[in-house]
Amino acid sequence: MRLKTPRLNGSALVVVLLTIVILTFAAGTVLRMSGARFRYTMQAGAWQEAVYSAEAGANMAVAALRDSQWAGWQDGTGASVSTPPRASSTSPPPAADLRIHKTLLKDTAEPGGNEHAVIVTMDAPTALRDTAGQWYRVRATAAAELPGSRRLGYEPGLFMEDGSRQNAREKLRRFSFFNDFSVGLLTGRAQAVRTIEVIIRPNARNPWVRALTLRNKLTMNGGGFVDSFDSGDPTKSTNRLYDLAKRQSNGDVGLVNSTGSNLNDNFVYGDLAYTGPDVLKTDNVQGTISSPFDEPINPVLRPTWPVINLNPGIIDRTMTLTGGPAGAPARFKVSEVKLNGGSSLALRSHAPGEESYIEVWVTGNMTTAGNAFVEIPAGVHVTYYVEGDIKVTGSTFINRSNIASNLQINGVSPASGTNTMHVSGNSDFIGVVNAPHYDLTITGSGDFSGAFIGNTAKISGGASVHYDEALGSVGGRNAAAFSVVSWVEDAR
Amino acid sequence: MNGAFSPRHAGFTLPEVLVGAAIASIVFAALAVGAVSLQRTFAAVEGFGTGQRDQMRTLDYISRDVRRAKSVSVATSPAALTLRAETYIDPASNLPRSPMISDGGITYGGTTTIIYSLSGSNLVREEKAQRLVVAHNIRAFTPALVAADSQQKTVNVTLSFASPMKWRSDAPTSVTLQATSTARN
Repeated sequence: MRLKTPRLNGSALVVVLLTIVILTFAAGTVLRMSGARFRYTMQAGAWQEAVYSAEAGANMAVAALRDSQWAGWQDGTGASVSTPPRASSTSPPPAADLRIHKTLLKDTAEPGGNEHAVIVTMDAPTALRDTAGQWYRVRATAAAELPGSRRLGYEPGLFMEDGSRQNAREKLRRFSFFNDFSVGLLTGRAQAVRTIEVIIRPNARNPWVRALTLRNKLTMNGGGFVDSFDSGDPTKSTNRLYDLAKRQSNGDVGLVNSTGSNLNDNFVYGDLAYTGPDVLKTDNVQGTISSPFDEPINPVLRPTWPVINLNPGIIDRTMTLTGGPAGAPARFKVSEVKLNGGSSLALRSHAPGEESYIEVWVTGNMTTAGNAFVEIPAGVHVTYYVEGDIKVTGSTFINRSNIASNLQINGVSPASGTNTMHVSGNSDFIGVVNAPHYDLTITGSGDFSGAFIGNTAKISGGASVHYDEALGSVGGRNAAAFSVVSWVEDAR
Repeated sequence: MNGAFSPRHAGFTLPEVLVGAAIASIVFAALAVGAVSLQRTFAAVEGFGTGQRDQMRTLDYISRDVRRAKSVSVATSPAALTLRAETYIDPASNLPRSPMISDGGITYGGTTTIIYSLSGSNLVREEKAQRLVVAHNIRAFTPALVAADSQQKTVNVTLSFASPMKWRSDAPTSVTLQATSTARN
């Protein structure tokens, strides 16, 4: 008789299967948990990358403004643009034709692998405009692709301190796993999206970029001319002085309102730009004539110095003022400058051989006559702020350095109306004048070497204006530099 | 013939039982030790995962807030990081506000203050009286302004989290990390 097979002979298979199931569950649990943590790390990294991409977009906007790099920028209709947006009074989003944008797409072949997309919009709110010019609002939204599956990483909810529950996704990163809510360039892909808004402000411009910059009319008579030289280049000057034989043709003229302007066929060795009616008798303008001329001219404000030297109080006789180092210029506030006869004002360095700086605030008029003079030794930089009229005759300013920027005369803009500046005599003036609310009259045969900003100018008597091209590098040649003055993130 | 199927013949001898019991004891002991070790390892990994998550989230919160801040200040006792930022989003409409020029800079019409501080072992972010716990098991929170930044807009944050390996006497008691962020404004 054959023996029965024991019933427990198959138990080994059951044990093996059970073990496999248990190990599978264990491995699955480990993989699920480690995968969730891995996703969390990758997703957090993508969220951090998104803000860097957004900042890169904002930087491109700054570069576009600063260096006129408008390649790829479009307006709301899709047309390419080559200039900043026009002013808009509406809040974001402004009208389509008043907003420009550019899109960027990161190549996935680059290190990192996940794709990024950035859209940058720029507009010019009318509320963001001051004496420095138009400010710009830039919004940059960046989307960074989330690697891995479309599931949130290991991110339990957060709790308020009082115990109420908050969803971490709503509070911080707010990933989008199935919809492209903002950029529209990563459709169908999980992504982290961040938006920043920066405000870009124009920096203070170098005003000394042309011979004459006027808010209103220019009148020339008497055979004088406008041209240029370069006091920093021996091939374009002699001993830093204007030399007719080395004449340059960058004596540009800009008129914000050309009404009543007449050059009377006097020579201008440079360009003429204006806004308004045609300038009369411009046959001898050697450069180009263009319109419009739309450059903001900032008013000159009264100084707000924290420390002022109140002595001597008035400059009406021979005296000496001593300067200070660049970081602590000597500052004097006087009621008037009135030099007659043989009196003089000597400006001296605070230390032999060192550059020295003096600033004089004149609350009244500045008048010189006869043989009176102001001597500015080499190495001394003097800046005047004058609130009243200016009338200088004779060889008033003796600028020993022959450097125009060493003598600056600022005519403080009055609350209303204009002041006058009258320069006469037969000696040359080497310096710069920033007096946008002053009417300038130059008579006599003395030349004006430097640059002038004023309200109107009347040049007669054979006097000429020589723009010193070295002034173009004062404070940086780039007249349209921009800075980011505000940075906020849309953390909704 | 029924004697061939007697149950008495299916049993084990005493030595067999003793050997089997010994082997089973060893196997179960090994399983118990392994299970405990696995549990500890799991707890450690869980702790590290939680700590890493809290660290990343904390630093992301702080860096986001520091970037948009207009001013940064720190206190040492008790430790606190105070940030003042523009209220860019209108809480009523939940839309961005329009910028305005003010003192050569930009304002959006109001500011908000954000304070990071410790509450027990929790790191709390407080804004508009809402106190959100952004991290747990914090042993130390040390914000400090970076001296090299004369504008005092760069802050270095040091966070020490309690170590998850509490049963190991030679394990570090905490995990410390640092991060530096600079206000953009």
